[in-house]
Amino acid sequence: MTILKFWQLSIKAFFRAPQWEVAIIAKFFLGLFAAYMFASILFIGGSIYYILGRTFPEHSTIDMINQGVFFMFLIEFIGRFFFQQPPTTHVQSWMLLPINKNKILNDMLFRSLLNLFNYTPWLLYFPIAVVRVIEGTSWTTSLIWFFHLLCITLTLNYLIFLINKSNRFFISTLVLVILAISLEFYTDFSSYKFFATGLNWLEQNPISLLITAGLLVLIYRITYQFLKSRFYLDMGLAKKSEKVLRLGFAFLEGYGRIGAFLKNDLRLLLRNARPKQVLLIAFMFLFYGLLFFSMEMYRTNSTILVFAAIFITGGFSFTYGQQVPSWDSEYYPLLMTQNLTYREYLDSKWWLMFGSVVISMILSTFYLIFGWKTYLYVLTGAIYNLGVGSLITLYSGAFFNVPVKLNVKAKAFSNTKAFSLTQLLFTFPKLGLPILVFFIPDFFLGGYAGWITLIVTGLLGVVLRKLVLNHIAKIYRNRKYKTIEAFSKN
Amino acid sequence: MISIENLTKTYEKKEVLNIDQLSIKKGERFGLVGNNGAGKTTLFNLILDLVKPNTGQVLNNNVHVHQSEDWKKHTAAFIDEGFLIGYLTPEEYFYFVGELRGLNESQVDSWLEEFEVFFNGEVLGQKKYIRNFSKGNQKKVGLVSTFLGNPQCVILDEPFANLDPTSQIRFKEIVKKQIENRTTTFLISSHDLNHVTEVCERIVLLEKGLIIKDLKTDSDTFSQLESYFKV
Repeated sequence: MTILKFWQLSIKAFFRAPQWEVAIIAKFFLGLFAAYMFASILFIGGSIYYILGRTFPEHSTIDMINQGVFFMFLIEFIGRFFFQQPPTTHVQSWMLLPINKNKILNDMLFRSLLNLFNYTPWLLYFPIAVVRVIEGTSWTTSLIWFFHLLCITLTLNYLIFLINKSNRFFISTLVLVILAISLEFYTDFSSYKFFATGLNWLEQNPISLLITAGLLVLIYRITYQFLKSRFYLDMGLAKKSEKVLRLGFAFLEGYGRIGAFLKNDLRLLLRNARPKQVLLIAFMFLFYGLLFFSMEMYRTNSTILVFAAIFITGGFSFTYGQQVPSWDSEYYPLLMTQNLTYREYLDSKWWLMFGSVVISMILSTFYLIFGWKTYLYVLTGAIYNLGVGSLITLYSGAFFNVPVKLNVKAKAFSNTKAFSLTQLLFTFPKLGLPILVFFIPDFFLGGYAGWITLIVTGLLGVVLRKLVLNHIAKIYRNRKYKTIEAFSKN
Repeated sequence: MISIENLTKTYEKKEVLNIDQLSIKKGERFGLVGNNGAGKTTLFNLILDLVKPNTGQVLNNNVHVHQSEDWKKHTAAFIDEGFLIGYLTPEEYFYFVGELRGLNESQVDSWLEEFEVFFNGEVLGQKKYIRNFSKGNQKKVGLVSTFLGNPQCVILDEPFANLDPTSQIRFKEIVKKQIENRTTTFLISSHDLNHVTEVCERIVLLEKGLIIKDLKTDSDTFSQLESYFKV
């Protein structure tokens, strides 16, 4: 009965949400994207065994895979930490209803299994296990291998629950990770190799299934008990108590109002769950170029390299900038009644994006290992982003008035709120323009013409930014009431 | 200070506010009462240019609020949580608002001393973000921030709601003191007839968007209002 009722409520919540029509289209596209991702992972799962076997015939394939699995778990762990939202928020309204506590808790813990991260074993490890059987490993060994990984994944699923809820678990995990890293560096012990050998041993000894399965049962019990003992508003169901993150930002003193805004923006980024995800994504974009610069087939195609370079330094301004007034949606009425102009507001956002590009530029100096010419791509992309990229994203943000809940994590593939058709339309100038600006002179004139045009365009953007910002301010003014109304539906 | 002419606001063919003429003098303590849906918050939002009127205009110190933004320099308001920045500590919030009104941090600090009693040791130096404060203490932060930089016009929606009894009394004293010292115009809406008649010298009663009564407060006002709402 509860499950059915719960479904009914979710359906109502969906259709009664503001802009649910857009949400349906968004769900469709996100569904397509998710299907594509699933297919890709499935493909990797099915082919990685053969690829590794051919490329490194001198090594044992399964050992390499096992070492890789260690890093997969590491990535999964970080991903879960930033993206997995504990589904406790719905529970409050059920607390007073005559439903058994055990039922609510089990339901909550069971529902968390539907999280996308829990699909990885089936999409990635299961195909590998099947391929192993085809390639001659006994099916029991292969299946045991798979079940071990499945149990570990699900253990992570509940571990994250505890880490998100309790500082003690968070700190112990942190200590463990630091220990592992230092062991890696300072001793002969290597945690990922140890993990691989361990996995090898586990699959040889079927009885060992009891270890990982036992671990899973244990963590489930701990989580269950943990939540049960804290089934009160002020304990487990409340958010983890926050410590104030104090940062001086002394370097912003003396910049007056713009400085005050920037200080606020930096605090917004560091103190809220959602912007932290943006920071993580922006950080990952720094390494986007590795995909292209390291592959021989792309190294000669300068247009594709420019495309990659734009992303390396533009990650933050893309992800943050396109939602610019929305980040302040929770207190937009305050900003609208204070003594400040749209121009000042936009100026401060522009400087924030400027700063992000400069920092990315410094952080991406590691591309110098691919040669100075590669880094030249990064620098050119950065100058373009400084001048033009940031303005285009700010411009697109002006049309995007969907409230953002700052301290609620966005779930992967379900974030329909961050989707809009206008944003989709703006993707073309965002990505197409720099490529066009580079490609045309590069194709017709050759030499450094493409680079020079891109740099000049970027510098022109910096010089002419006042004009564009004034224009964006005008859009803000025209959309003022619409924006306030949309944001009030937070 | 504020003059309103022929102001109407309609939501989906339903008129929620219709005011022919209303003017509020400089330094006046103006109270607004009325049941839910009477249009109190809508009126404040119109004065603050947060919603667009269907007809009419609002002049704030002779500035047409819909056409110019100059009124923001001398006006402060606290309507709801939308005026607080949840991820700041109260101090950081006061510094931010202070900066926008031309006060530096030490000026804000010394100015905050005046409100120590009102804060009751629960607001400053708590090492907590505003979003983690109780509703009552959040309200205190919002109310006090409106006085920063001595704006000529202060607009408060339900300032007494969520405050504990002691804080309600202290807040009344603060408002009275502000008026003694300066020429601040106050626009206050409230469901609490007792408080509003005590603080305000003029009370306007709204009902379904229309002005029903416009009273100068005297010893009789409270019972007059009470008998109106009894029905």
